[in-house]
Amino acid sequence: MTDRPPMPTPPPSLSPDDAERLDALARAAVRRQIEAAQQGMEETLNHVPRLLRGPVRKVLGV
Amino acid sequence: MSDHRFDREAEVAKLARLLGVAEDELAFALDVPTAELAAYRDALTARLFDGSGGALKRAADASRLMPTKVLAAVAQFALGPLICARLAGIIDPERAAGIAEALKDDYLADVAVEMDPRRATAVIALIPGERIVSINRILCERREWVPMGRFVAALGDEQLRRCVDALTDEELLRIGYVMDGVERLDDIYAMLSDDRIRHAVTWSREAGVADRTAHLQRHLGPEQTARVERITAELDG
Repeated sequence: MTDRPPMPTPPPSLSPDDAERLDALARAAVRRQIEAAQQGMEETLNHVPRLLRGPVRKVLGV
Repeated sequence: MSDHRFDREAEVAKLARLLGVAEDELAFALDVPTAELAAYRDALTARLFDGSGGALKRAADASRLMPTKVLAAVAQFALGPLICARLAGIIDPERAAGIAEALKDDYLADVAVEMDPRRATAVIALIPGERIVSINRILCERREWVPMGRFVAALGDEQLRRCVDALTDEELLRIGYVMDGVERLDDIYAMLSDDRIRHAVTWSREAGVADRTAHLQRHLGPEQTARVERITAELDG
């Protein structure tokens, strides 16, 4: 997923500790989204006939 | 951008929703200027929504090969609302609207909560007004004011009017406190009868949120401001 914009820099008014806390929450949200995307793709494949799963997996790149 | 305490609270509520955490967890950000919080939320939204991610883009491309009803079933039973919300901004709007038509209201409400409406305005424009109202009713029952507030700017005039007619004055105000696109506030007030504004002012006072409502009304243009002042003066007289 290299075409995504970079992680934003926390607001400059935050203290370093609070900026770190916010950044950790943001990274966790991004991670959850990526995991949900991967899980969704895998579950989608379960709805595809077994013989077609290989080609579909190739098309989706998962 | 206004930097009142209410504006910062609204921004923190919106950021918490985006991060998937309770507002209390972001209490440390309540002293950050509104403009900084808004800029950070915009950048994080871009990080979460923009750049389709290889697999999502390929899934969107592959979806062209499948019938709409099959896609709706896959969306509902396999992809989940978060991924559907991301895909809504990527796939062809007419196809996305066709899939939305085949989805159940409850599920579409789940998807709406995860969406960034600014990235799916073409799809939203194709959803019939009565469907928008049905979804809004579900979101009101769930008290999802922040996601609803994000949609205000993305709705067409007729869709907005249907929602204003269908929601209570209290619900409209709760959405208004956290809405994006406050420039639509004037349109919303213009759709309200004097009776409804009177009721909104009365409810705000009884619920102890009169200050918050007055702050919201600072975004109104001269005509609606004068109308609210007249109605408030009549109530007090």
